[in-house]
Amino acid sequence: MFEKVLTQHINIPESQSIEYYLKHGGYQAFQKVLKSMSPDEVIEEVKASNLRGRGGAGFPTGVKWGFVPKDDSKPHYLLVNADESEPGTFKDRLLINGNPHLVLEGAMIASFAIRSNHSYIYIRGEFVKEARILEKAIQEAYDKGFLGKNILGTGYNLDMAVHRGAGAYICGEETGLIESLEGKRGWPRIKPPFPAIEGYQHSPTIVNNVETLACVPSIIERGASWFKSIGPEQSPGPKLYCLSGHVKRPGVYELPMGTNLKEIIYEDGGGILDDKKLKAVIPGGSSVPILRADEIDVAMDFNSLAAIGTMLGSAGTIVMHEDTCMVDALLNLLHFYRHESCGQCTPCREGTNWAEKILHKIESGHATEKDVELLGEVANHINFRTICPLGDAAAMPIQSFLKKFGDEFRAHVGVGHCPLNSRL
Amino acid sequence: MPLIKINGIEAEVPAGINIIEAAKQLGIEIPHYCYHPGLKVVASCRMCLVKLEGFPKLVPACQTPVREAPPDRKVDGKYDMVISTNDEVVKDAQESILEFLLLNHPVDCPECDQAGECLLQDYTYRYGKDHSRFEFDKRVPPRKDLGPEVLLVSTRCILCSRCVRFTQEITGTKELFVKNRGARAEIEVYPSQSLDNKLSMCVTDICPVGALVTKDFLFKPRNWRYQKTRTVCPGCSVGCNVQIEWMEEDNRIYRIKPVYNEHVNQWWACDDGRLLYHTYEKLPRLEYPMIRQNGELQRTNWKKAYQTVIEGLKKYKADEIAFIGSGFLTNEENYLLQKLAREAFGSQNVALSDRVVKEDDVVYPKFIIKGEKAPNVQGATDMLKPSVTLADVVAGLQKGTIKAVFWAGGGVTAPLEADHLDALKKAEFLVVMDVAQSPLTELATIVLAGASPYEKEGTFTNYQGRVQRIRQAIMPPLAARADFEILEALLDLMDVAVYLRPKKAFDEIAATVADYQGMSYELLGELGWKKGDPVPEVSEAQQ
Ligand SMILES: Cc1cc2nc3c(=O)[nH]c(=O)nc-3n(C[C@H](O)[C@H](O)[C@H](O)COP(=O)(O)O)c2cc1C
Ligand code: SF4
Ligand code: SF4
Ligand code: FES
Repeated sequence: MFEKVLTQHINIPESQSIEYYLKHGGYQAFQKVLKSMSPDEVIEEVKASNLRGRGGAGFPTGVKWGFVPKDDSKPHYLLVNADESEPGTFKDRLLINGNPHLVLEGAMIASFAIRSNHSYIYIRGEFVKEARILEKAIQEAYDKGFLGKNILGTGYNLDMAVHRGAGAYICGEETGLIESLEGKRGWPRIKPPFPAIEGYQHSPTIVNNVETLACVPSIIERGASWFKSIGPEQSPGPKLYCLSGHVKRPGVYELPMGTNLKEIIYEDGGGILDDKKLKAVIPGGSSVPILRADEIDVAMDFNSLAAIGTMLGSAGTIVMHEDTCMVDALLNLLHFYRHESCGQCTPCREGTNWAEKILHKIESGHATEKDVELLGEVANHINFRTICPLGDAAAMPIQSFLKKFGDEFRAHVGVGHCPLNSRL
Repeated sequence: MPLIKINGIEAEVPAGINIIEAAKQLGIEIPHYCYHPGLKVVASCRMCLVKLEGFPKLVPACQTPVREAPPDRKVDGKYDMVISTNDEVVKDAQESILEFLLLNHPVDCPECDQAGECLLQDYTYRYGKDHSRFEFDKRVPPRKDLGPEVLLVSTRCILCSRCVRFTQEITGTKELFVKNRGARAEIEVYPSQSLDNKLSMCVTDICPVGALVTKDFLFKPRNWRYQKTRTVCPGCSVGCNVQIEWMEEDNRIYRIKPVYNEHVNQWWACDDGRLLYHTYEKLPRLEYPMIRQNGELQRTNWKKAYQTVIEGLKKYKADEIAFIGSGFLTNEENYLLQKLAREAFGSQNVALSDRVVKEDDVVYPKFIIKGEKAPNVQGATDMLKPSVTLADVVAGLQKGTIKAVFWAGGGVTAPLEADHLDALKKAEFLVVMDVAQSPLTELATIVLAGASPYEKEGTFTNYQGRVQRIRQAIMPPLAARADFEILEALLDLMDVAVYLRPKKAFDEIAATVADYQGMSYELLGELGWKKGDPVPEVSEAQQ
């Protein structure tokens, strides 16, 4: 039986307090690291665990930490990415609410590993309550001596602070986040240099997702091989799946990495709302290619989803039943990307704007076949041609919706209205 | 040096330069908007995407430096990089970027001042589609008055951010920013600020389209209708390289723009320098030589003027005559002036006028504007080798030991102080060679109508000691003449030497003035030559 590691305490009212956390074994891993491990040993352990980033790209966490220079004179920074804004994704928020000290402890261990004495939590602007929770938790950690100077007498110093975003999805992209933290416009940077070499304030910087960091204390405590025993060995561990859309029991589910998508929808989620027929699922947050109902017998992990042409992304699983108009659904997504494009790159700035307009025309039933073709072309002209992956994130859904539900788009042509359910 | 291949052409190019520059060296154009060699690379317009062998995606040429590949990674066993700029995928990318940029563009070329020098026009002809597939309403952000000299026609902006980076990196004044996100983004000046730095008009040069325009050039004739002359700005002792755009039919200047010189001004020039031609236009210019008769200045002809000058000066003993040179005159003119003093009239009373406007230097992170508002104080000093000062001459006039003065102005000088005027009133014979009427010409016995720095040839030496050629754009007004011609005529009449052209005078300078040894107009070329830099031996082929 799978034992929850991240969310076992979340529904207990006092779980936000440090006392509760300490009583349940909290900060043991951090103490272990401080007292008996070197930064490199921590990195090796995390590498050995095969933990892959939960922020979307799935990059191996230990490998990323290993990129930080070991003998330079610059300060290093650990930035916690709590900007969670991808449509369909709401797991980090839950962790912060239910187990803030777990996130802090993970960040502390990561900071130690990359030889950082400064850590910032960059939190989405709308998460006002969560920012307060984190601020309180940080204060508690200072009071108990887990943060500050000479932590627990080991000579290690670490300061941590919360920085609130101002409401831009793009500030979740790690270099956009860094720019924003520096007080500038959230425009993603070109790479190289990569943040691990030159990030915040031109110094080595690691950006990690909240959930990624929340996995770290248990890896330290129980060991890499325990972690690897959960789910597929190449991308193992406990995983938070955000289930939303037309399911009976939407919510965040902690399950072993690699749990079957069908199982998540029908068992954990209780099946399709109103017992309707399933039409489509976006498995990993709004940015990833969509799956048809017949494609959902798949393990929800990085490699298995990549094998069928989509991605785990942020594990925001969006379920759509038979009444959903796919044109309308895509229009909704494009509305989001058009609004959130930072505007730096020509293809993303102009392409998302144009695509939304074309979609609007298709959805209203006034488009021609040519418009449907043009939509696909616009997506091709955005994809892989921008600075950051937001452009791709807008283009890939268009391409996959057209590929898998092209007939439905063409069925809108010349009808004068949406043949299905529409919000318009 | 890395061996690269672009579109099948092989070449060795220096490591570290980007692919746009490398391609340029091979004569291949890679279209680009956001990249400007003087600014940080942001790689955001995506116009410069090219195919790089071994990379799954197209790469921005501006962001990709040429580099050596490790031995086992060479393409075909020898190339460090293999690049295509005309592959079908690249063409598709170029065409699509242009299509994107034109979606919301008003295509108001007929009324746009940039027409004919617009990179959106140019690239669309070369790389674009001939029709638009965009059928929705275009975005119409408002026009903005950014500052005293610059207007923003927002509808034409392609958001390359060059202007913003200019104010961040070159002037550090940071007046501009991008407002709003995505397709609603607009260039804006910060609230309660104004784009009023002293280099503000440079943003209009680097704007690749007609979005940023100078108020000075608004609705003037199209750029292809002008004659274009490369010269040096006479506004201060930096000596920015500029291009004068002028028309023969009305002998007027319409615009002055900076020209790249890596040693002097890079791509930039200050607003005051660019607009200085208006100051010269407004001067009450001297248009004829004039002789004072019965207390009134009367027009005369040059022959008579020259004779009168020579006869007048000859009446005095050598040490009773003083010659005043100027930082507004060229090296050649100052050289001739001192020659006239020392060799024609045997006078050692050669001074350099200190009537130069002096302000504080304006120092920006990547540009300096000198407070010395004359272009050639350095060169004038080198040429004149002044044996006395202006104060000495003034004292001599007061005492009566100096009785005749040959005064050269040449430009927009600082006004004369009252005691100077008092002293000059005492001169029995006063020759004034200048561009404009002034309290000084009121006192003159003879007025010689000279030319402005836009109206003649020669060289200036800037504050760093760089000797640079100036070239004639427009003609001096009516009968006015380049000061060089006046001085050369006088030297000829005095049987000292015949020069005819400034080039000949410069050759003599190169043979006789220490720091100028070995220089020639050919050596100065476009970029000038710094005093003291070793002059290459003239090769046998050239001899
Ligand atoms: C447009 C965009 C938005 C993103 N938003 C987030 C986000 O809200 N939270 C997050 O953790 N990662 C986000 N990412 C991914 C980050 O860039 C980065 O990969 C991640 O924070 C790295 O952490 P990890 O290695 O722990 O996954 C976003 C990426 C893109 C392109
Ligand atoms: S892809 Fe879009 S969001 Fe990303 S940098 Fe470019 S314009 Fe900004
Ligand atoms: S105004 Fe011109 S320079 Fe500035 S961003 Fe727009 S196009 Fe670029
Ligand atoms: S010139 Fe390279 S991306 Fe703009």
